[in-house]
Amino acid sequence: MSVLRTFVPPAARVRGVGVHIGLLLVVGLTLLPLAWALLTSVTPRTELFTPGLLPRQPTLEHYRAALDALPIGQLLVNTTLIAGSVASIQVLLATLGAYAVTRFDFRGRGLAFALMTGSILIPQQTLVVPSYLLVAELGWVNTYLGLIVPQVATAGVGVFLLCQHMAQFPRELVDAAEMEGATDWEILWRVIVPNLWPAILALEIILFVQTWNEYLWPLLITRGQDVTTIQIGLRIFRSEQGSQWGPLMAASAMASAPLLLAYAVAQRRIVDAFIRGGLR
Amino acid sequence: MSTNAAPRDDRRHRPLNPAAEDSRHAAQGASERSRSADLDQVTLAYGPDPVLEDLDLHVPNGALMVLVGPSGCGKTSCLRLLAGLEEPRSGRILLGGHDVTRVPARDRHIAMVFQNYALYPHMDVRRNVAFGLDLQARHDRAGTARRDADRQRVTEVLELLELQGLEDRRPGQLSGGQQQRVALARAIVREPHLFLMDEPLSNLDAQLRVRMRQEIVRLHQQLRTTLVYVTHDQVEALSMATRLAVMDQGRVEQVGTPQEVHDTPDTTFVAAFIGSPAMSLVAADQGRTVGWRPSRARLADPDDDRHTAAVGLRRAGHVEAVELLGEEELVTIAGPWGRATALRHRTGQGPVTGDRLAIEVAPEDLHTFNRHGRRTP
Repeated sequence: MSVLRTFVPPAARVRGVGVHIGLLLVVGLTLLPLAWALLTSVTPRTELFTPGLLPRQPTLEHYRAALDALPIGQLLVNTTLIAGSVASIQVLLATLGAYAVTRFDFRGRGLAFALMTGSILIPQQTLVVPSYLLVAELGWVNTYLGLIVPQVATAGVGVFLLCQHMAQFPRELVDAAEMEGATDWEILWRVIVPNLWPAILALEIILFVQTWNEYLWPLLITRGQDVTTIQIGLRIFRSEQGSQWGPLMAASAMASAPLLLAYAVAQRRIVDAFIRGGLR
Repeated sequence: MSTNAAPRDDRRHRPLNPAAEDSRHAAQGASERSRSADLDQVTLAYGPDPVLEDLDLHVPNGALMVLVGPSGCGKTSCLRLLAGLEEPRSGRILLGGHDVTRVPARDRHIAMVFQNYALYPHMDVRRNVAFGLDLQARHDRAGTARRDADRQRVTEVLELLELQGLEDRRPGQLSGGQQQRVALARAIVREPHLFLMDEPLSNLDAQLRVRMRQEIVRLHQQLRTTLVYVTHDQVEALSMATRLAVMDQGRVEQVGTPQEVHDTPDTTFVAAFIGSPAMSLVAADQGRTVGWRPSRARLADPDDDRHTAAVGLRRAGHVEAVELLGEEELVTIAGPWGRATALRHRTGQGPVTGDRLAIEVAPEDLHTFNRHGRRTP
């Protein structure tokens, strides 16, 4: 570490303070709902609708209620499994698709690229009915297959993103590998992918979180608590008679815990992946 | 399990020839892996305009052939065609006399060193060097004996290029010169039929460039394998080549030994491009051009034309520039007839800008080119 302190001109210092105040505001706004949810989850039912932010007698009763009402562990395992599968399969498909259109010059390449990336533009809502009919026809309603396969079939974002990275990939490295006897398959897995891991990891994270938060499709395709995701499980605390805010927030806290924990542990790597992956 | 791979292993146990060949013309003594290479009536085009058209180039077995020319002249395209990284629109590519035009790059057994080295950033030095052998071993489902031999060979080549101690570094942790050595090691380790090098020294500083130049010549003599070397630097070209091809605008202007190309340039382009300082060219009668090496010209008194009869060419004018080149200086004089240069030893009082001066060249030192820029006897 340097012994000398860097000289910062006063104007820059004032600007620095301003920037930090702005950043703190944004952080506060982002954290507010989370903090509110956490506080609600430990506030006794009797105090819920009384004024004041902090509970006077904090309680874990909602957590007990939530655990009684929901197989939260099972739901978390389900959701992790589903989100992990969807993200990983999409990343795999996107890698292969992007490699195909960037590396090979074949008839219809432009069309293939347009079809794959064009899927970004199709709103999910318009796909819901045909997808549902197809899944029902296949007998996949209320199965993991029914949850995973249709969500995998939209790799447009991934193809688009990885195409950008592969197009920028140094051509000499590919040429060098080819001259050393590498097959196209080996060039992809032994030369390109190891150098694109930041982008690939960033993509995996985005897709994982997106699938984790998915509500509409699991809602349609699953019945009951066995194969569904945590997001759907949380619904039982909402009914026509009103919502059970305490247990809902407690369950939500437990549902977010694994993701937050994972992020806390791998924060450095994740941020690094996003920066190096060119995704901010 | 390893015995079935044994017959394929024999070439790998052959040690590198420790004694360098003393002849720079290694053609006769080329190693048995080495091959000649030819471009035969090759046309290469990306769009409607061809980059190369009906180009012929013969690289003799064992030669250190340098392709030299200004950027965009097609020299790198020639290299990529030989490598199999480009496919010609027409014509044939021969390796050791065999047509390899349709053989993919990965099956040609050619090694290439790229301008920016193209080392795999995610692999350490040892894995970079071993990558090609690993792939081959994998494809051949080679056993442990072959893999041990490969590992031994990688170690030998790392030693040959003085890379011991750097095996575990990533390319990003190496200096430019070290990266260059790794790139060379990676090419050498595979014992290819042919080496291709695309401006491999252009990213190094001047001093290192001269050292690596000698190093590559030494390696070529030691390995006795055909090497095609591309550069835009004519000094590099002259100093390294056993054969030299000068290219311009997709054409081969002249092929020969460096001495031939330097001493008897076939075209005005070659005359102006090869040699330092460049040949001085001035217009003569009937659309012809005459030229001379500045070192062969003599500075003379502009008003004293007594010897004109004995002189092949005489041009008088004002000194436009005097450039210091070390022991010598290059004097440029200009007149209504154009510009001419002469080299003079820095003895006594030299000319300064604005002086009136004449340049004289003896008849035997003049090169004459016709209106198409071609040499005439």
